[in-house]
Amino acid sequence: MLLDLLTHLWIANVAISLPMVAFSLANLYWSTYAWHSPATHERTTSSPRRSDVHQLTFSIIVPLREEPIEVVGATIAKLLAQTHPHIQAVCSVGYDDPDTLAVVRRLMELHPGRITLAVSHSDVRNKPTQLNAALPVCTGDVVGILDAESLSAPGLLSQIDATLQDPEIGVVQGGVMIVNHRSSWVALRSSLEYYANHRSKMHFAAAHRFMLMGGNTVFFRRSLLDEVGGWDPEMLAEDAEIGVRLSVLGHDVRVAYQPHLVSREEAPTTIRRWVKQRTRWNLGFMQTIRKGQWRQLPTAGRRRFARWLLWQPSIVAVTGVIIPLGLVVALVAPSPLWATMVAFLPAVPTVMLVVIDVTMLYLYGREIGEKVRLLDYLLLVVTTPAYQLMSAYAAARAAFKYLRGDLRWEKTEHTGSHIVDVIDLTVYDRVAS
Amino acid sequence: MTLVVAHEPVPAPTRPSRARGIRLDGPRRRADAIIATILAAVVGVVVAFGLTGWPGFNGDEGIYTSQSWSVLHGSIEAYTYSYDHPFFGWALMAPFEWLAETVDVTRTGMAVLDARAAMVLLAVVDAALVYGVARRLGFRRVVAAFTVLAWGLSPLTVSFARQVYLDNIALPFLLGALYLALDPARRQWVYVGAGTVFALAVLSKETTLLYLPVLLYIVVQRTVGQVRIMAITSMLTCSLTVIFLYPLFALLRGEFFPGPGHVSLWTDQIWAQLFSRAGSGALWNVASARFQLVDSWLHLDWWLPIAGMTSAVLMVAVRRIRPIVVAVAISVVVVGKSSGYLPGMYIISVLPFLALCIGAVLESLPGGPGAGRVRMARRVAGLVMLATLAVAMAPEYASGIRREATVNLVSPARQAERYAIARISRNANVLVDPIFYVDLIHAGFRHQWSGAIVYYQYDLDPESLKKLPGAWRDLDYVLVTPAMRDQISGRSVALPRTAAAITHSRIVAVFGRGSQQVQIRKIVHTPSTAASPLKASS
Repeated sequence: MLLDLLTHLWIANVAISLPMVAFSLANLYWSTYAWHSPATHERTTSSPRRSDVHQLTFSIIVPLREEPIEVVGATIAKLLAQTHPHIQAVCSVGYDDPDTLAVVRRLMELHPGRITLAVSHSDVRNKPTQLNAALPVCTGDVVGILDAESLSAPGLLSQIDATLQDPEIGVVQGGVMIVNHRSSWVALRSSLEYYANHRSKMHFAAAHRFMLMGGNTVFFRRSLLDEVGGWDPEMLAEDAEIGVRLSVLGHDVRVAYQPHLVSREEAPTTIRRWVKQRTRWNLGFMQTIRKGQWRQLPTAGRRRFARWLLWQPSIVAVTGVIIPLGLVVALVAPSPLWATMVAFLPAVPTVMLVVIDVTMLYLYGREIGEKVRLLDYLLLVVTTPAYQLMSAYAAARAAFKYLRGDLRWEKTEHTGSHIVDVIDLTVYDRVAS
Repeated sequence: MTLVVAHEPVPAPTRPSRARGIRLDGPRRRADAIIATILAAVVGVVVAFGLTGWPGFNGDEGIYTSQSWSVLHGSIEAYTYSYDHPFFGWALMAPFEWLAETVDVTRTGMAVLDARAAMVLLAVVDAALVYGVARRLGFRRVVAAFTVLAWGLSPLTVSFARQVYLDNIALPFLLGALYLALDPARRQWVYVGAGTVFALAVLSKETTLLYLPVLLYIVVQRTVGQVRIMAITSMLTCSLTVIFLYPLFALLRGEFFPGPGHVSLWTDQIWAQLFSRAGSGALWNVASARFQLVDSWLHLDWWLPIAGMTSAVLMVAVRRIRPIVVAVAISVVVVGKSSGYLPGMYIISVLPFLALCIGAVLESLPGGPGAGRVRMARRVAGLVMLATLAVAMAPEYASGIRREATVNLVSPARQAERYAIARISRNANVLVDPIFYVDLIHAGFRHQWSGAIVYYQYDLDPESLKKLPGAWRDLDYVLVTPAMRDQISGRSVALPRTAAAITHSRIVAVFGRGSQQVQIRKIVHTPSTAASPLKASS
């Protein structure tokens, strides 16, 4: 029986081969969107001509939970050092988190009159409840979110203000970059993924008018948040989910990626933390799919795109394991030679994936102005299989949790390694001048 | 001479609305499509008309036809696959050959001629692609059309385009890759497509790999900065990975590295091509095979090669044309270098590049800035130039085309085949040129190691000695074609078993005369002729 199965395994292998090629190519296609042509390259790097507009007022929510003072202190300091004059910093803290409350009180003494404290009284401990708790105290025309561990560039808000001078634009997604890529290979991988996401993929999604925002360095017109009623507290990927609702209502998102204006944050450095974070994202996407508001998009094409985008993390995770498995089966299981050749076709996009990763790491290094070491390239190539296994594991874990109905928030811990290790705070001043 | 670029083919990336561009381009594209279709039809008709008579058969045509037939019957090759070329080309040809055979398109009953009919389709596609490439290089319609005709009506092109060669299968892929690489919007994934199509050209005929620098040069020329880095890496990766599927195939069959008892890609293809194949001699040696080959090309048509190479030298000055000049330069090096084997059909892939260089010269002469009368004068000058060139080449082309449409060099072989099918017993073992192989199978002969046996494999296939250990005594007839005689007397490969079979035979029937003669010979099985010096060497 088992032998019988083995001798016919090649049929399944041939059947999945071409879909695997298609999925992999689709993934490569949107990863490289920013470089598709000189036209897209220009479109994804262009910025409003003036970057010193100061007409709107900003309220920036910084959601905090169990954060050490060094981390929050640096984030708030960078935020208050913006060149834009009209900024309200809103620190949102849970009522059951006295340590962080103390941290914020201390910071309020350091920066008198510039920080507003919002306390969430919800027993649900997650980011969307904290964001919703902060919304009533926000006074600005524009409400933005800045993660607790994220360092903003001084000219950022001026640039966002200039971008929002176009009345058609309701939301601006700013760039985020991981800077602790030297900490571990997991962080290196995350850096590259963030880079591909902000530099390329988000532009692709925005161009197709279905945008899943990131949760950091994102700015909404206040009126839009009121229109959609804020964030959904049930959601683990509240940032992406609010993007779905805004897309359905026809509000377009502008992706503003400027290498010198990105927010700098840290990525998980260990596999454990990475898997936790990734599981949460995957779960969030699953929730969003089930909530089903993307089905209200006006055209079939946009609905198709939305379905593809929401399933994308799962597809990538599955293909990352199935393709190598298929190659092994092709080599080991008895099969006709032509079938083996067909089964080997997914190797083509897989090799391309590795080479494009290396190329992107090179471009990333050039954009952050740091030389990428040969070791980093080697690490990137060598860890590809491990990374794909991790992605698959996180996806499987998310699916398991989803089926069990376990939707608790697994918070990513912040160590501040990006501040002590990498960040020379004067770098922003140099870039700005 | 002032070289003025008349049209900038690449729209500036900042050009405002895409929708407007499409509306403007619609009728223009339709005009291009109509012109390309007409040109392709003209070239197709000229190539098709007379292909059952000109040129005479080359043994390779029979080899690829029989391999295509084998693909239709479930194996890569009729005999042991020896990695002489990748099999993609003839596998691709198989369905077309089947179609041509099924509708009996040539009404000759000869599989090789039906396969030639399939080649006409490729020439048609080539013509359209040459027009497309010319347009994307910025040629005006009239110049692009002239380029297509200068290429497609050359007696040299027509003669080679008819023959069943892998180079003919590779050419549309090569031209397609260039066409894609000249994408006006300069899109990364179109470049990846170009790389993939180029890989298919290489998998059709491995020598096409020589043109990889041309493809890279075009993309490097047309991109800058991050877009260039991304375009080059993704295109190159995709292209090379697809090409590497071929060595992978050899690896999977356990035939990549040499070993006892089997052929290998390494020794039979890579090593053989690079080092051990007998060279064709130096071009400046009048007695060398290389000189004779080039002479035979120029005998068909001197105009296109000479005008094309002169134009290539002039066009070094024009940035846009330089990749095409590089393509010509690569070919000149391959043809002109003093060592290595030069296959006759190599010229096939060079001809479009020569024509494009001629077109580029015409394009660069007239036009350009200047208003009213000046512009008009330049335009007239250009047209006069064009007309002069056309008049200069017209008689050459016309007489060549007429000869190729009317002279029949194939009929001795056809008559011999008909005779063999009518007179030879189906139980006989017949050593044949591969051009007869498929037809004899259709006529009811057994094949491979009994019945119809291809002489080349009879000598070189590792299976041969096991299957037919009795040398010429195992055979009953030999069908000797001019190609076979050339190969036995030539120095490139030794064919002692075939030579011995011919020695031990007597002529039964003869068709044609002189160098075109095809003989049907019967093996003499009497003991008196048994001892022969040639036998010992087998």
